[in-house]
Amino acid sequence: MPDWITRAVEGVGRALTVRPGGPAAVDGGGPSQDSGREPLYAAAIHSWNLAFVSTDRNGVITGWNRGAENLFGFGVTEAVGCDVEAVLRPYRDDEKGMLRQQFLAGQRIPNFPMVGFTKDNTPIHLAFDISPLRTPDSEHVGASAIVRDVTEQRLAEELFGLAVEACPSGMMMIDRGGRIVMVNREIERLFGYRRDELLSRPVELLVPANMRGLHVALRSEFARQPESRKMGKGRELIAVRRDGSEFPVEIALNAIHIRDGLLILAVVVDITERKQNEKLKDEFVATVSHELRTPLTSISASLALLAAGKVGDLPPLAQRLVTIARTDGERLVRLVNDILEIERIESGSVLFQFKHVSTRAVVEHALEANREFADQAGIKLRLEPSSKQGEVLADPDRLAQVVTNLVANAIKFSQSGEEVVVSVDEDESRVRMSVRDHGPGIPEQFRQRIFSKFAQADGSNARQKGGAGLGLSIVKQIVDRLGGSVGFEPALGGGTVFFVELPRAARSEREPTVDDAVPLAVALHTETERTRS
Amino acid sequence: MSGLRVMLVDDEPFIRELVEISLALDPDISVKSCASGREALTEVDQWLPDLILLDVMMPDMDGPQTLTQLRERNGTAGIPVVFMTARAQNRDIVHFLTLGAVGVIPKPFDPVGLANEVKQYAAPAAANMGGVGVG
Repeated sequence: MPDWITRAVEGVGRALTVRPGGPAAVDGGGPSQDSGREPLYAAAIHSWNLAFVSTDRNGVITGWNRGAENLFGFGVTEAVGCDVEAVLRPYRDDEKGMLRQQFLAGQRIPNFPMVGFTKDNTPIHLAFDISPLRTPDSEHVGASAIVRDVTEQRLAEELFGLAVEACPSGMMMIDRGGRIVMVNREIERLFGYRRDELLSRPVELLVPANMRGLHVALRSEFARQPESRKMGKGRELIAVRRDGSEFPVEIALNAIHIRDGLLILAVVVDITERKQNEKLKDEFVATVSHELRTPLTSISASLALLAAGKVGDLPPLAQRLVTIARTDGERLVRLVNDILEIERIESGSVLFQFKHVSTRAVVEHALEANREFADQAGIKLRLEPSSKQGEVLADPDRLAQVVTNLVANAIKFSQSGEEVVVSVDEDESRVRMSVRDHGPGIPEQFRQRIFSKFAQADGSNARQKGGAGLGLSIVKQIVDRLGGSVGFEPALGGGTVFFVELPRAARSEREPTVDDAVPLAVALHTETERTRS
Repeated sequence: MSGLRVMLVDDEPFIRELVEISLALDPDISVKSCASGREALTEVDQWLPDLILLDVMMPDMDGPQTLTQLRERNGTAGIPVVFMTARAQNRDIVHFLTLGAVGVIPKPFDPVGLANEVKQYAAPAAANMGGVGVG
């Protein structure tokens, strides 16, 4: 209760003329020293919009201001002289007599709750701040109370409680010591426990025995550094039901700071179905991969044998047709590989093996691998001689793929006779690998979506250049996983520079394990991959 | 007898035919094709190949399972096995090598160079077999 109200109530004590007579004082308040102002106080209180009620020591109403009239609908003449419970009428039978008891208790009672009725029988949630009234010589003569209508607040609280209860995700609060302090209905349903079997139990009850140690460690870590983890960025864990069965869950965590410390709100979602779908998708991808590549293998091998003249010489026109079929067959193989590749990276089922590598060494290797493609297109492919080593912590195969895709893209958009230059620069914290072409540049309207899947500058260009627009998308996916960034800018003197920036790694750092470098969710995916292959 | 005896195991008839044609370009190589891992396990004792070309994804018994069976049996444990597969990313290759394969030929394969590739895998393995013995 705000101070000013307290003071006002105490003032009320002094101001009231309590029947059958004599000045009154509130507990702790001194004897009235300014009885001349009492009528003024009384007038002030009477005009309050806050409801004010006072009773004598039998619970009979002696004071009833305009605020009380407005709140309850009873006029002062109707209320004064009646029993306080006869007017306010407790809603619940088991609360009958309690309000009168509070008024007669002779002590201050803040925030006493009761549901009563207004004159037109509307239920109303009330909160009473009660103070005893005493005469200057401490005779207990009754009590006064400020009464507030808290109906809306209660309904809001009730609504909030119902919402938590009805939430389709499991919600649970845990204290700093890992004990469960709140659960909603979905938690009961998910885990098969009744609420009273969970409250004040350690949350590890819901974790399989072999993971409890790990869970305690994770929980302590979170309590030390509570950062919100949203759904989708949360952890995937295995949970255990009352009957011992296990199921996969995703957990989002939020720290809630309260007066006595920290509570952790955990939102728990059962991801059994999602996991099943992922498994189906993986199987689908494996099947499609096999089903697409098998005929492609036959087609390209047949054409290769024909083209090589291994089954007899072909007439020139037939030779030309076989070459066309072969070229586009190879293109189809690359497309299938790209689609499968991006799906695997996106689904997180590709394990990245992080090692200390020299970006320059990776680039040199990738340039050699693309030399033939460049020669065929009449493009001069070279490494800038001033390139640095560019030590990074990355998966060398994936980094090579990034270089290859950027170089292939640069070659594709260059004219015969032009040059593609790759360089590696570094500063104290970052390594920058750049691929520069002298091509036509990137159309303004295409820049936004250049790293999206199946992005092509325009339809006619796609037909002219080939490719499904997956190369740069794969680059982006890989660079994201490597903890770096990718971008492009117009090059001085025409053309475009695509660049990849990665955190620079010092040689002296210890070789990290895979778990160091990838988030837990990724590690879990790779675990399933390993068991599958 | 001179010449290299290659057993091919693949469930796809066209692939079998094309591998046969490709290897037949080299007169030193003789080929026997099997349509399944099981058929290969039945035939291998009779035919005694110098090298086995093994598909990975096959119904019923896949390539790695076939390899395991070959390794567990006397007489076939030392025959070098090369996987032919569309799953030939670096880490897949590492995985196949740890299973005991001597090499991996990615699909789509180069039919013109296939015979040479197979011979290269067979040569060091044959040398090893002389030294190490079988079983």
